[in-house]
Amino acid sequence: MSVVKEFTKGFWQELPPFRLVLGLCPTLAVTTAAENGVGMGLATTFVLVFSNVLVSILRKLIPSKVRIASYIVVIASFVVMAELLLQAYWYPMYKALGIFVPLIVVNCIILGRAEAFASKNPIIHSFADGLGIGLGFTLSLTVLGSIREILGNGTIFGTSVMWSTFEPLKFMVKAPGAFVCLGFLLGLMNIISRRRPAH
Amino acid sequence: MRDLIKMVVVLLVICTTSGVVLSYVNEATIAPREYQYIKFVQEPSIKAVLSGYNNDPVKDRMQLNLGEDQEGNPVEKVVFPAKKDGKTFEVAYSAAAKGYHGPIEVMVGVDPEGTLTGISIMTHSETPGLGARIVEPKFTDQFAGLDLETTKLSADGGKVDAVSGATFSTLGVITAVDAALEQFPQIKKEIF
Amino acid sequence: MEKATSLEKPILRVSVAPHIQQKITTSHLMYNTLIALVPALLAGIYFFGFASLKLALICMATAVACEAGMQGVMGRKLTIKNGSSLVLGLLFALICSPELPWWTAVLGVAVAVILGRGIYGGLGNNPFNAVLVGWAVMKISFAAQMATWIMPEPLFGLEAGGYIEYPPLEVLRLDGVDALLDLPWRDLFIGNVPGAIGTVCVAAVLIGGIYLLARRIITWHIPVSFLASAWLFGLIFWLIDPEVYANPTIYLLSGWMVLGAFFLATDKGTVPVTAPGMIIFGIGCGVITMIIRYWGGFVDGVAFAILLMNALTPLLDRVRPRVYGRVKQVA
Repeated sequence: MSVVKEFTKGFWQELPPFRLVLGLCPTLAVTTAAENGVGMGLATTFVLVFSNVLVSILRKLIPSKVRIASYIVVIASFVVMAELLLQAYWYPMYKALGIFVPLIVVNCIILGRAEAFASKNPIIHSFADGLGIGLGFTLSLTVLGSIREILGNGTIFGTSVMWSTFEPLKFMVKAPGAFVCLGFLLGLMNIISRRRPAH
Repeated sequence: MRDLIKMVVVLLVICTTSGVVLSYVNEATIAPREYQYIKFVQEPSIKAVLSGYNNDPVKDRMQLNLGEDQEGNPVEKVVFPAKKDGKTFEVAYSAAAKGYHGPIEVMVGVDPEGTLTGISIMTHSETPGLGARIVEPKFTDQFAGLDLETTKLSADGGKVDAVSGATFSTLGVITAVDAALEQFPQIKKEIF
Repeated sequence: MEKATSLEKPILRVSVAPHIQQKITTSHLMYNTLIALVPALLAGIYFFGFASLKLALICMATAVACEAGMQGVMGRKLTIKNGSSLVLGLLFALICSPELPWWTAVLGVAVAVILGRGIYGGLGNNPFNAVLVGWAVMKISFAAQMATWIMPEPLFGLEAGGYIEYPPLEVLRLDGVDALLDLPWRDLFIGNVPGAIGTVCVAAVLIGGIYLLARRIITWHIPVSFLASAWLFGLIFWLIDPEVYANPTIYLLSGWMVLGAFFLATDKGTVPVTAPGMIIFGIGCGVITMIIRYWGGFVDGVAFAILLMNALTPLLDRVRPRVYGRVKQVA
């Protein structure tokens, strides 16, 4: 498969979390607002791209018996780095995401890509895969966050978008709203892909 | 055997590299992290306790060396001076004390006579709805105008009314404010 | 499918159990339930005026429209004539305040039909009581609108009951047991107090409930175990400390208790089908209701108690009679 294809597959074919249905914990927990979705997505993309590249570089050196341990060390290092950088340059986002930044370590998408893709593919391909999946994840989280913010708070990225007498549907920014919203998006995607069968 | 050695070596190298790189990143981000912490946590408190200045207290912050404590460790304090036309007339700095659940960090504003211009609670972990009410203006406002003598509970002859049902949290705030005021003579020597 | 036999049409078609045939249809169940709800609605109109009727009509119309729309979009058979959406809409109106803004009612019913029932595959496939799903979403989103109450003003005959300004359970929560000492139980029983349209008049709801029992639309297990367990649970705490916990009969006569026991906790498809299962279901509802009323964040716990027990229904359905004729496995 070409490098371009590795990149674009992250936007529909293997769009996380809707297609892979991995990494649901941050998806449900932080998407109370569009901005949090962007922040979480970008932090995850950062970790995903670098861990993919590094795992790909080291793929011939790491003995298969200790590969998971090695991947986790690599991923955890980048997560700590992401946390420090967020704290240093984007403090409000660091506060808003809270515990979910360190928890990127256990995001299945990242270990999944390292194990299933980067450990078997050349560096350039792994980079494209990480970037595509990461940006796809960012996109999904932003969409989910936007829907919940608009319905649950009447705003998007903090700006008011609904009419003045709009009563926000508080349900949407609470945990059950996240599940309902995710369910509807998954259903919608299934309808679309059923109408447009894969070539 | 060769496999075993290879595994150990590879893991060792990866972990060591990770440790080295992380400690480097940690070192490199100390300054900006401190700046962000000041900007988003301390600055709102500084603005709450100082008034009438036309400088940027955060930019003009000074690190003072206040001698040594009982164990011989150096005591350092970051203070935020409020200046009007280049002349310092008030100063803000923070102090901490033990509350009911954990440390309470308080920002105090002090004028040259050692009188409080205001206090603001920066971080705490008191019980929500009870001890956490120490952050309410109703409680913090009563500190303005007090000095080391009068920052005591009303029951002990001072002028501070405790948050009802949260005497320990109140005492924590008072202890922190007292600790700050006790350092004031030394700070005064350095900046006024 | 491949044709396995030479016969064009099968002579016998055997389907899965049950094989007993009765004339009871969905429409029969639903229209009888609707009849049983009429007294409660009439009581609501009597105490709170025609605003109650208006709200009920809005809810029923919305329910039918949403059901038809949902079935149209999903390409299912149109079944709005069976009356199930009418029952859903009316029940939603009956558990709401007569002052509920129309858009909240429309939104709530739409959530109930679409989210509570439609996406699971329609009537009978929903794991949770659809009315309560709609109500709960509204309660979480619009707490203020859902808790605006008005004083009862009987259309004729009775004097308006003016002992309390909020529904009895809210008074208990806010002012404690003493505030209800002077309240005549007769007012609670006939519904001369502030509250939701269809739940204030316990007498009317009971008439409807007894009608359902008499027509064998529901069995006695759930309502009786629900009410009895709630009353007994309340009795224990009343005996321990009558200063803090009110007389259990007051709890029985106020809020959604009776309506919940007869109409909401007997919603077919969301409750167990065996007698022991139904009794456990009822006891669970009664106890959880009282726990929420005593110590919970919400004033009335009936809705959440029923929703919680709905979630347990698949488990309770495993409490069933021994299979006849089964031999213990020989090792």
